[in-house]
Amino acid sequence: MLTQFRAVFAVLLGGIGGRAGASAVTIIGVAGVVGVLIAILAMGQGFQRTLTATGRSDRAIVVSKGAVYEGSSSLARDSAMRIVSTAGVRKNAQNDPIASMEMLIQIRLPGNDGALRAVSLRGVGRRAQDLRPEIRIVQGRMFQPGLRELIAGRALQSQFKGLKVGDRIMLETGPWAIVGLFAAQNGGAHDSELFGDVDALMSAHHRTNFQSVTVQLDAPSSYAGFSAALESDASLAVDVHREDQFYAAQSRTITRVYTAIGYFIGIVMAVGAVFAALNTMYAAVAAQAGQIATLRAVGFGAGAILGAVFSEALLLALAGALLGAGLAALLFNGRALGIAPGAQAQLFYAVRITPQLAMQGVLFAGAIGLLGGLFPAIRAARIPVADALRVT
Amino acid sequence: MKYLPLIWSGLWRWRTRTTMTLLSAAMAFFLFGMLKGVDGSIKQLAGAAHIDRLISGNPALLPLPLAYLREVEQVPGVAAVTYANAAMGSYQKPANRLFVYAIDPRQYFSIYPETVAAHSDQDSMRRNPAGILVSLSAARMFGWKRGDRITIHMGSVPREAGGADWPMEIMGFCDYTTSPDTPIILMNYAYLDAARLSGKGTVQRLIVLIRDPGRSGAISGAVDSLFANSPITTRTETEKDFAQAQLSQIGDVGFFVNAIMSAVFFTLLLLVANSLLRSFRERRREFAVLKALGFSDGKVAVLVIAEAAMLCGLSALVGLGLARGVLPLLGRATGGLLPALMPPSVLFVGIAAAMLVALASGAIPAWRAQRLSIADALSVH
Amino acid sequence: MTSDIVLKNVVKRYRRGREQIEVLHHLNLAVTAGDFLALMGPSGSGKTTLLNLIGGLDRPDGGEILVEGERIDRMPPGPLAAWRARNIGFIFQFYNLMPSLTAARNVELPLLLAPLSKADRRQRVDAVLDIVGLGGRANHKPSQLSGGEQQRVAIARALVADPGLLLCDEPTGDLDRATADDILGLLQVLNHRSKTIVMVTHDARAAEHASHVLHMDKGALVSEPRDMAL
Repeated sequence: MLTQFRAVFAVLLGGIGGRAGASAVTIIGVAGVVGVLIAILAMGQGFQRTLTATGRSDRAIVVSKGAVYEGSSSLARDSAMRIVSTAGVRKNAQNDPIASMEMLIQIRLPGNDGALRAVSLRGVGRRAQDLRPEIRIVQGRMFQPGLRELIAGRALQSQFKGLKVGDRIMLETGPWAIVGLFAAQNGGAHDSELFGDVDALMSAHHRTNFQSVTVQLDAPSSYAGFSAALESDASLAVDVHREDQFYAAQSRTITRVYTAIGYFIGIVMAVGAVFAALNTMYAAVAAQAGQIATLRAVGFGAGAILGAVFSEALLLALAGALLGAGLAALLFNGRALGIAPGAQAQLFYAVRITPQLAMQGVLFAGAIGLLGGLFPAIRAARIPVADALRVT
Repeated sequence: MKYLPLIWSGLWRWRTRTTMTLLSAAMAFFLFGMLKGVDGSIKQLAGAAHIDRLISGNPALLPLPLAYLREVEQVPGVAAVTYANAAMGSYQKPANRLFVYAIDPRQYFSIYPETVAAHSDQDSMRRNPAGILVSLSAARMFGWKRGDRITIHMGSVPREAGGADWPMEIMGFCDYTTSPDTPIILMNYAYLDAARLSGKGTVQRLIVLIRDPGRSGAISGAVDSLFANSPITTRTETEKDFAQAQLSQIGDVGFFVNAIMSAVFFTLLLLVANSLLRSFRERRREFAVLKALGFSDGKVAVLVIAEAAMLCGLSALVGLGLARGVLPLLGRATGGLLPALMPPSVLFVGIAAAMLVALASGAIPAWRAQRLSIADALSVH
Repeated sequence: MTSDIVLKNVVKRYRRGREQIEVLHHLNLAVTAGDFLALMGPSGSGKTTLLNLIGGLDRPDGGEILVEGERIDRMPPGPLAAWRARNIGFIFQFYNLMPSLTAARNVELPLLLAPLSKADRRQRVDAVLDIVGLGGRANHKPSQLSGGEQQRVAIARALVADPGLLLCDEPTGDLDRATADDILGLLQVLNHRSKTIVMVTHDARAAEHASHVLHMDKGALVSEPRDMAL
């Protein structure tokens, strides 16, 4: 069977010169499908990855009841104080709870293109650095408490010109100085934010309520007790989440939308590619019909013929998949994109074309190759032996 | 016109091939129709939005207490404040969907001048608690007349007395100039609030008319700071920003659409060009015969382009037609967020694109047809 | 309509690779209007080339070609095409019909180039199909017709614009004896209706239907036919 298959395959391949155009079209068509699919999925996944990297399972975040995004949450000061003194919160050497009562507002700054864009400005507590050790100052210095100083997340640099160390930005309440840049070890949502002292920011903006309280738990297992204590307290009206799950949940809708869009567009393009592949394979079979008939007359089985036609179709599809994945990687890998979850400020992240995505693309292409080869393969296997005797 | 049978027969010389190419190309135009349709809807919605109107709502979509209205009215720079409570309704069948806005008719029309309703109609609606004004599109769709008493089912607004069927009386019509095809009903908020089961005394959002659009940022900030320390905070922004934020949450749609469609049309070009080249190669003799019969070089070239145009035109019609049919389904799936119709501009641009593809892909075979040597092509060997 | 054909000193060369081959050597020929001329000769003698030149399908490299006093060797391509449409009818060995058009539409093709109404075109097509005896087969496609019927359709197509000159290249080459005789009989009828016919053939029996026979060999007219195995 294998020798038969090889012979048929050789026959098919022998005629490929005459089909160069059609074969090229199929390869490029599949490349387009795979490239677009991978690119769109990567955009959604990158966003998900960034948000997921923001939180840790041994930290908890508390927001007012029903808030999915910090921006919709509002916690009074005494509620916040009660939260940080709840059991389960780790204490530092000075016996202070490692926690941060935080304020989050959207401000508008001119982006690189001149248009005003929303940026998240987060007021953090005194022990925020203990709370988030993964965030380091990479340039300049930390802001001083009580002063109108801010530090800027690294991901903002590619989108905004005026956020370098030494720059000043105008808030409603006057100028604030950028004194440092920070970055989280694994990236994350905070890299797209500005940090400042929460007390200074709250007094400058005449706010009394916080948006969230984030705490470091004694251990990941302390979460159960901590959250039960808070959520059962009716006078507090809060929701407690593990920090990583809280941020991951924010990405869910958008990632789902991207995945849905990616597959919708991918499938439509794939249908187009299948028709193109069918065209090419029908032509391949027709061009070599005489020779295939001869082989059948000699006694070659249908299986070998089916296999050979499928193989050519799959080869073309594979070539297209590699081309498409390669192009997507070339054009999109490392590119910075911004998405605004829940109508908040944009979150900037880098798109990454992962091997898993490439694999998905290859599988998709495989399906196209199979479908594009199916009917022509059947037709080839059914070529009447008498055709071998006919002169075209 | 008289050349049509000739061109048509050339196109369908090899039925399977042409069908495959046509279907493949149709997919490209289908995608074009869908993507451009969605992008166009987004632009249309954002474009119709005003910069002298602010939308104030809770970021978590919690309803605002109506009492907020008085406070917002006091903010300097504010000309007027009103509210609009939107709900999905259906008439007789769940499939007959329409938008129901509960409003204060005294303020609404002055703040939304693009919604046109006769003053007499506005008055009649105001005086009758259950009175409503219906958009012209809704009236057309359901055959409604002034004085009709109808019942609208609003699943998201159950009644205190039970059920969710709201009896209404049509007092007149309104013309939504910015979205003329969307079926809309305007009802009295007072009637809704009095009879509804939950959410009494609240509205989804406030609409603020300001005197100076240049101060929209400052006024928005002032409104938000009024409620920053309350349990129900607000986020206020211009209507334009609100529309854009709603719909461009997932990223820069326009850019993606153009990038994807460029890739798709490039492939389409190759597909059609390849198909035409192959077809021409196998029909050289027939073109030579036409020349022998007296068809000039130029005419034969034009025949090739015409065939390409017919192929691309047919594909475009099939693909765009399909998109036209599918878009309303998408509209329904997003809860009416996107208009259910494909803007006619998309159709025109699609056909124009088809003709461009035809020209580009037919150029080389047409050139070859023009240069074809009759004697060579006709020689028996 | 009748036709006079005059060839003076006609030369035709072809390039094959780097060589130039002279296919017609200073050929002189005169065909009287109303003539039925058979051109015979072995393959490669240049008879098809000569036919192509007379019909304006190709240009000579030297000499003059006059058809009805018009120097067709000097006509620019556009007017030449129009001239062909008005004055020449072609009949080929393998019919050269459009496979996806019906007989009627095939015959109609030359008329598309003239400013005629749809009704006029239809009328002429029907008339000419009657002449060739295919009145009832107008809506059949070539694949549904026999070889002889297809050639009749081709003849109808050649006639429909009422040209004065019919050029036939091996018109019976693909037909059996009986059918060939029918076709040749038809050509004779057309000749009697004052169509000038130049027919290239290698079939001596076909040549018998003509009024004159000329022989060609190696690109020139010869007075005696060479005894050759064909």
